[in-house]
Amino acid sequence: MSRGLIFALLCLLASMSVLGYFVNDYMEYKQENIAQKRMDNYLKELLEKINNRKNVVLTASILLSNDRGVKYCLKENNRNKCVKYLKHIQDTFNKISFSQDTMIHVHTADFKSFFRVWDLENNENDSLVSFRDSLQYIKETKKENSGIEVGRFSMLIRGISPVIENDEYLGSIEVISNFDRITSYFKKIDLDFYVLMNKKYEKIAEKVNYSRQKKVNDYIVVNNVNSELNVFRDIEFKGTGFVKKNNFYIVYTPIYDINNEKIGFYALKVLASKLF
Amino acid sequence: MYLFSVESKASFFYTILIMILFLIPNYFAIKATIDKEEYINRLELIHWVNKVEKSIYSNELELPRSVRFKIGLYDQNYNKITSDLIHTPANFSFETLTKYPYMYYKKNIAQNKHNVAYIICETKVNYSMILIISILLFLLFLALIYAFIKVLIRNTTVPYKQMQRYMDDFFNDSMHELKTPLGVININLELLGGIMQPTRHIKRIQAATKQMQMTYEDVEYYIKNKKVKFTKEKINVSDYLKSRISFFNDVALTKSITFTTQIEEDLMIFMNTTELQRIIDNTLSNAIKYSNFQGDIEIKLFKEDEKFCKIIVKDYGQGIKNIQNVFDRFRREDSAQGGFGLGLNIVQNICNKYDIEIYIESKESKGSTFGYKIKLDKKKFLDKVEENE
Repeated sequence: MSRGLIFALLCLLASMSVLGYFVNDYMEYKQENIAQKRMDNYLKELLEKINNRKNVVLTASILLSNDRGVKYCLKENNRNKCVKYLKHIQDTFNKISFSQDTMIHVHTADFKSFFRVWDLENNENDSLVSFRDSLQYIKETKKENSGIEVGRFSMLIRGISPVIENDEYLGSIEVISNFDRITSYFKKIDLDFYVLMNKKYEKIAEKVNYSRQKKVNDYIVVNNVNSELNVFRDIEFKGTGFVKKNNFYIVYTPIYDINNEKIGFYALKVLASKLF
Repeated sequence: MYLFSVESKASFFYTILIMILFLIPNYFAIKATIDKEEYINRLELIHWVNKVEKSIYSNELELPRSVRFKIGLYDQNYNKITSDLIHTPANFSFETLTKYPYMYYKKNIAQNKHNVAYIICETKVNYSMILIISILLFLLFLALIYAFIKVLIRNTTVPYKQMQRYMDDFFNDSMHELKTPLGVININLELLGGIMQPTRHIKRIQAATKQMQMTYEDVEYYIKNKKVKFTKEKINVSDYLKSRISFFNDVALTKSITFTTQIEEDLMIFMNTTELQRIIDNTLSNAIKYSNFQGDIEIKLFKEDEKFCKIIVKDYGQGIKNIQNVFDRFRREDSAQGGFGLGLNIVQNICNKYDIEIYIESKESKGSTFGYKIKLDKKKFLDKVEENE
């Protein structure tokens, strides 16, 4: 073989290698781009589901805040006048599909728990002032609000409305939802949905006993998801992002409370096959 | 010298021309691809920034979220309000900025209750496609140039190739036609030598025939050189040199030249006999050709060291004016002496092939010395066994 031919073949081989490298790089970029677009869609869907849930609990709380029985109860500081009614409402909510898994909590004007409809045996009017900033916000603005907040019974979706009569602030009523409906929705489309609460809020959620299996690094999984949590071990959660694992992706986005404080993360485990 | 300078200038010019020809389409292709990529990315960034802007005005607490786009919100003085940009640009005096592998888009928005004046959006870009197009264009261009040059060369060299073929045929035919009569002359001269005492005229014919045979063998070697593989063998260079000296004795006698020899016995080398013959014959023939009448030619063969032997041929003739050009093909120092000017060129090619060092010393009107340093054949184990037997 002549030297020229060997040189030409070597040049061709070098060019093809460089070309192969860049083609591979570009294909990976394009694939990642497609995956990211799909992940953005899932993220959008997740936030829509959360917002829908927020709207449900907010609407319910607004309706209940205008109930005369509730107003009377708070004014007279006598829960017996409205407990039955609210218990009935809560049971009715749980029978209707879109409002399932909801709970009702009534607060006094001085930020104490008046009663929790799902925990009526508890007569203690525990103070919520140290961790329920939303209640102060409601009292200040006298406007309803919804969001994610950590309470005695975990980090949940909350819709809160002020109870006012003749310009007198009597207290507030809160309709709470867990994440079960959203979790089961994503399960149906083969996605695992996780709600991760920062461990520093564990003390606030004193009424819940989180098992060790639910804890991973600095977070506690607060929703009912039966999936391996080891996938989160080496993830450094920071803003909205994603991590590629063997055959799946973990997409995550922060959860902010009313003070814009990062209290946890939503995470979706998406199989790679669902992205391409 | 002038020709060389013109040639190198021309090749430089054509190289630059081809490079420019390559660069022009490549530049436009790359630029178009960059523009297209930037345009697509810019559109996506604008779309996302508009979404963010809308959510700021709509008093929503939450900004749109994406794994593809990172957002930074800044006030009028570029103080950060919130940001999840992977890399914050060093300065903010841009509308679109590409700092590979990231691209940024900045939008100045109207007053709002969050006090956000600037939205900066970041996304990842990839320019591999540009490099792919560039490499493909380069390869395509190379292939086109190669095809073009091949066609050009084929078209321009057709008449020369034809001429070359005619010349080869002519040479081959001529050689074939010469071989038979030369053989007939040689055989008859030998027979004549057996019948009668060679006369002065017969000796002259013998010398002339040997000269002719040598020229014939040079040309034959020149033609066959690239077609035939010359196999190497062990040669007793001492004996072989003596036989060649004996062969050239008749030729030397025509000019009353005497050979003075000093040959070390039994020196073995490993090369092809025909090629060794070409070296010796051409050197001796030249020495005779350029020696004066009744001159003397000294021939030495000796072992220089354990590895090499040297053949030295020294004449006291007219010498060589220009030693440097002596090996050029078809160059003759003195055209009156005849020949094709092939001999020393052949010698040089053979010496290069066998790594034989050539020494030439020459002074005009004083004579020339040609020396060859040839590698001795190494005695191998089996050779010793053979000798003992």
